[in-house]
Amino acid sequence: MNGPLHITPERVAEEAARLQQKLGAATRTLRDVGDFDYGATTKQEVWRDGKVVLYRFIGDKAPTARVPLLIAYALVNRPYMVDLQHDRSIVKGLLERGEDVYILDWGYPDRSDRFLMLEDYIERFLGGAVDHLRRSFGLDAINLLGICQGGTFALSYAALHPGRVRNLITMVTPVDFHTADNMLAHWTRDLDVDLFVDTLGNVPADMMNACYLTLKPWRLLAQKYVGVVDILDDARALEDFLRMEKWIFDSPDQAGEAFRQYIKQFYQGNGFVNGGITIGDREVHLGLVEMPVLNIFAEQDHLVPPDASRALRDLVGTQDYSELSFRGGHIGIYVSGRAQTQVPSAIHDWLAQRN
Amino acid sequence: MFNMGQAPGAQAADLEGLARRFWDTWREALQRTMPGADWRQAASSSPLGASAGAMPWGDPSQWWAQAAQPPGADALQRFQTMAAPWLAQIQRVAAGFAGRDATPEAIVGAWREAMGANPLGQMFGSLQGQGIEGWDAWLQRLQPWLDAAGAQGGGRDAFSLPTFGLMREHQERWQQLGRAFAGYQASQQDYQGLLLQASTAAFVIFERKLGARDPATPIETPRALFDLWIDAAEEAYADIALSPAFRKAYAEMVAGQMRLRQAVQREVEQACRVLDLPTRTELDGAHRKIADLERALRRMRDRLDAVEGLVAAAPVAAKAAPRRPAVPVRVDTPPAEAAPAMAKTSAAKTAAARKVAAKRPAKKASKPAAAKTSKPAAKNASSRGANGDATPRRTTGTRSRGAKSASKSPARRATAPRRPGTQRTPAAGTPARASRKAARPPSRVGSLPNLGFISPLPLAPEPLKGKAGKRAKGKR
Repeated sequence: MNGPLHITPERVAEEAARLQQKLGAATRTLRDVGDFDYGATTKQEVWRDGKVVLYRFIGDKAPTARVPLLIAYALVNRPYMVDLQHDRSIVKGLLERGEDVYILDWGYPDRSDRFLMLEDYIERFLGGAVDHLRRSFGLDAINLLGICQGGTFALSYAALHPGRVRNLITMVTPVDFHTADNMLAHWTRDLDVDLFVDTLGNVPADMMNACYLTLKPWRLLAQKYVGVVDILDDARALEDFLRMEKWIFDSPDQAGEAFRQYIKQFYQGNGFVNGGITIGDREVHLGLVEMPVLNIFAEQDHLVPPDASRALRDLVGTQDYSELSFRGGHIGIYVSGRAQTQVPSAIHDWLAQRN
Repeated sequence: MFNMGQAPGAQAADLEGLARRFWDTWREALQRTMPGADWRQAASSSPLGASAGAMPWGDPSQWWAQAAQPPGADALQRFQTMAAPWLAQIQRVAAGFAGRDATPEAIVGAWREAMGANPLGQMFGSLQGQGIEGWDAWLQRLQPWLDAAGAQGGGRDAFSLPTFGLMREHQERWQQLGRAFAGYQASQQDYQGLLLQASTAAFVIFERKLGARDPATPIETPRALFDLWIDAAEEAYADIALSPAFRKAYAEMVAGQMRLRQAVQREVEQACRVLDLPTRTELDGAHRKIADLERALRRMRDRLDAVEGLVAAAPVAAKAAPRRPAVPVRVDTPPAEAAPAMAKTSAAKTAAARKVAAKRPAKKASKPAAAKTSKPAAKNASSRGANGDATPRRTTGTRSRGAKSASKSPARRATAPRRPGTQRTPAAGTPARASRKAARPPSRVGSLPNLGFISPLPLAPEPLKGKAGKRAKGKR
């Protein structure tokens, strides 16, 4: 045959039979999976402001690092992605290497939080957590790790309070929001965000998730679930899949005013590059980020394209700027096998040279 | 090769035989794995007794339904919703070409027939969730009323006629609702039009990919055919989704929906007022006041903390940090198996990177003019206020002066209160040493007109506690 297909009836039957076998096993597998857990490492609440909680991760051994590392995650998803399960935990890797790891949990905003602004998130919550750690450790400055949107918060905070951040690490953090391949940013450019927030109040999580799914609709709405059939007879793989599904769709609503500001200043105004980011009434200048910076980005990231992150190198004022280009995607950088080996060690080694 | 040298009748017989064997296997599997499942009913839905040649494997979409018996039925049902339609399509189309040669055109034709002209639009239409759930159903209920209103008033223009009298405001509100609905429909049509374009382009790219396939490596499984379709469809969609037209249509579609929602919200608020129920607007007003008050309180506390800290701190001349352009240092990571090794940073690397930077004048020159503003700002802003705050010249108009390590000043520590509204919970760990780095130089009170944003200095160090409330041991 000369055509592009060579599908024999045997192959069709074989695939159909395999499918049936998987389906047949599914009921047993699903029963085995049961109610899976997530979040691998014990953590302890050490500070709270309203719904926002600062946790300390408790490792198997006492930390050897003398400067705490605070993780600031994005608002749009839950922070347990960095500690999803025992064999997929950046946090675990950091603890094993002696880091003293804290994480800020933004909580689930409700309608009473609709008027929280970026100033509240950055100065009040992030700043409050930083101050708590500075007080607790008797330090002027701590290490800060900002992830995705949390990275933009960390950058803003570091620019506003450079003396309080000893070392800054950004992971999959958008800096230049106007790169040509940034589909999400492209869609927001003409968005009437005032009308959007005035109408919705808080932005529903499901609406956000639907937006993310439509960035790659065929892969995320069709191919992914067709692929699930392959693991229906593998309880562990199915558990991993379900845990990831849990994280993907366990999304908080977005506080309306903060969302409005973020879209306007970051996505539409591209404020890190063009200027114009204002937190409270103070302007953010990345040139004021003078502490050592490690910028980690993912080469196959469709949410934060690598170029959007790489832009940081030309904008920060530090003399000590390092990059880690990770071969993977926006999610793989936390949970892939390669990430478990590379990311914690890269962060720890980089910090060790600077603490 | 399956059909090499066989007559068409023999091929069909082989195919049917295979199908029958498969069905028997499946039936046995069903009996084995699904106790109590009525396999006869399942078997009766098999097309073998009816038109075995047309669809020898039955309707694949029914496999899931038949398999989905308790326990696990709910989960399987959800999988069915997400995956079964696709699996059914894949199997149907692939089975149609099983054992025979086919051109890319024929394959794409069958694929298009199976999926419809705008599969992307259908897929998007199936998205449901809070904020989007029930929206279509609600609009469907609204549509007859709007159509009737439009018909009575002379079509859609009825929503633009002047209003007057006692009911003027209400009529005007209803007209707004009607116009919003019409606008929403128009924006949806534009958006759907682009999705249709993406679907159409997907079929074209699919055909191109099939045509470009190396005959030496043909597609051998239904799943591989599906994966190729996914590649084509994503490629087509990305082209459309990154276009200016899509950006505009997307914004209009969102705005259209928001205007309609607002119009509906106004009606709901009106109804709430009639029934003497609290409205969303009233609640928002209260929430806004609380948020503003909390923010004002925090600012005042920060200002107070800063003043108290500055009074206790002695001013010392600041030593400006030397500045030079940031140059990237690549962090090497070990291979997945290797032990972690780290970076080549440091002065030597920085010097090397500086050379690289010097070789990139064109890139620097091509940066947007606005982007360049950050560098001068940075150069002007190496001074910092008390507590390590940046005090950019453009903001403060002053240059702060340095002091010795403020964190080592007991007086300063003692004056730093906790933030309002915050709660410290028992912490773990050991008392930490003070930073070996000198604290950022504080400034005189008089040199800092922007005191409102200087946050509190650290309190005296508090010991963190270990797991059981004991002090953790270990090198610090």
